[in-house]
Amino acid sequence: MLQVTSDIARGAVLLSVNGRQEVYIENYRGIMDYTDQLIRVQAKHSRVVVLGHRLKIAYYTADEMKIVGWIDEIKYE
Amino acid sequence: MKTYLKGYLRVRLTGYGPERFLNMCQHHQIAVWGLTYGGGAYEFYMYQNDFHRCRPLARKTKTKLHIIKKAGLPFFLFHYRRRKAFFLGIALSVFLLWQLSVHIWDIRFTGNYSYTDDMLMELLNENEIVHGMKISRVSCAEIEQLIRDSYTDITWVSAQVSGTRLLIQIKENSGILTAPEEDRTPCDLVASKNGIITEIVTRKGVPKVKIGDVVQEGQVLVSGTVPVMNDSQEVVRYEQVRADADVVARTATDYADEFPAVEQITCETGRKQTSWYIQYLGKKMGISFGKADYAMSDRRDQEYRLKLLNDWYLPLGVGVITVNELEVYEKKLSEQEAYEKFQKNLNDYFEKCEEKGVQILENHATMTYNADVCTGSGKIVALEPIAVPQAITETEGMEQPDELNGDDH
Repeated sequence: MLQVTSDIARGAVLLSVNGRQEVYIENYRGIMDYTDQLIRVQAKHSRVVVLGHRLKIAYYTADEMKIVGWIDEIKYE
Repeated sequence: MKTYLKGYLRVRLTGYGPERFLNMCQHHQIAVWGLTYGGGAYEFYMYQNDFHRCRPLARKTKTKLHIIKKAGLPFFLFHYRRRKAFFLGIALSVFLLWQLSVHIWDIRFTGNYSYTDDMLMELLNENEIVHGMKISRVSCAEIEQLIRDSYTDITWVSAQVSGTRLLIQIKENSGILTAPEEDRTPCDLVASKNGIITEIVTRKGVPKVKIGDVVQEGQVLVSGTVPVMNDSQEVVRYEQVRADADVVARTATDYADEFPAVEQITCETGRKQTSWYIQYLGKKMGISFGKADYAMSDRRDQEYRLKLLNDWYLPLGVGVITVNELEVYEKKLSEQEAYEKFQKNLNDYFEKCEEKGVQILENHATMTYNADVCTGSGKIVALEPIAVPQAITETEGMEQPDELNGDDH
């Protein structure tokens, strides 16, 4: 039987942060807001807000998004 | 690379719900990358063919799309669509490169000594293996067979195609070995020189000399006439055989050498004439700057073949012919130089003697230095084989004994 972690099975959002300049967001639903200082992303059960300066979305696909820039804060709403 | 080939756009997005537009792009699997925000507008990259797909989305989300940059191969080709000669040139050069890479432009021979490159090339040309032929038509096995069949003393041939070159390696036999026919005619062994016998080993025949004997030139050393005895040790008859023996004698040979005391030396005067030629498919087209009109000259040819890669030779080559003027002048040898030359000649003579199995014991040769000519002379004492075969002429003692020839008188 395929082993899947419970987080992914529940559709939880997955964040990978590399230093202060790269964030990978997986399992997200859509982009709520985007400016160069704030990116708000809708996940299944919550919203993820990335705050910082000169934020850019390097790419995004249906499952994954890569944010680059100078990150000050990541929070859930 | 894929992005460049497909063509892509930098698009500015403005309007009421840009985030909704971006989410719809995600939903319709329209690739978007390099998304930035600035001055109340969004900018991002997308593929050229996705732009038409996202126009309904823009209408639906009340946003406006504005292309700010076009990049990639489709736009490049469209931009230069009127420059037909440019694209024709690219296509032509690709075609030429392809054509040049499927022909043989250089045929090289290695390992040939007695057969010159020209001879081998002529043989190949007669059999339609020429510069410029298609590589696909080259059969290395046939070339190997052809060369081996045409020249029997070429023992090994290897042909291989490397890039646009045909490399042929050859091994020649230094000489066809045939078993020497043994001479069976009866003969004596006679002395080729005066000397004192120091060693004699007889294999066939009757020895006529022994160690310590002084022999003269022409004297019989081993006789080919062998007496056949009966049980009473009486000579019944004579049989003639081919005498065979090793006879070594101590000999004294007169050495004589003479060479002029003036040496002719050839050297370059410094004047030279250079001309160029272009080589195409083995044919040479010359570009000459004046004609070299020298009484004596030395010509050197140097050829440079054009190539793209290591073995990707092109049918063109450039050659330089340099003709250097030569002059001859005479130089008087000093006594030291003359002596060195005398020694060199003497050493060469000794080497030749040693090749014949002669062992030099004493050397009494000296040099006399004169104004015009230098002479070397003296005795050379050596141990050397002196036996040489000679047809039997001597008939003495060969008469059949009286008792056996049936003559009553």
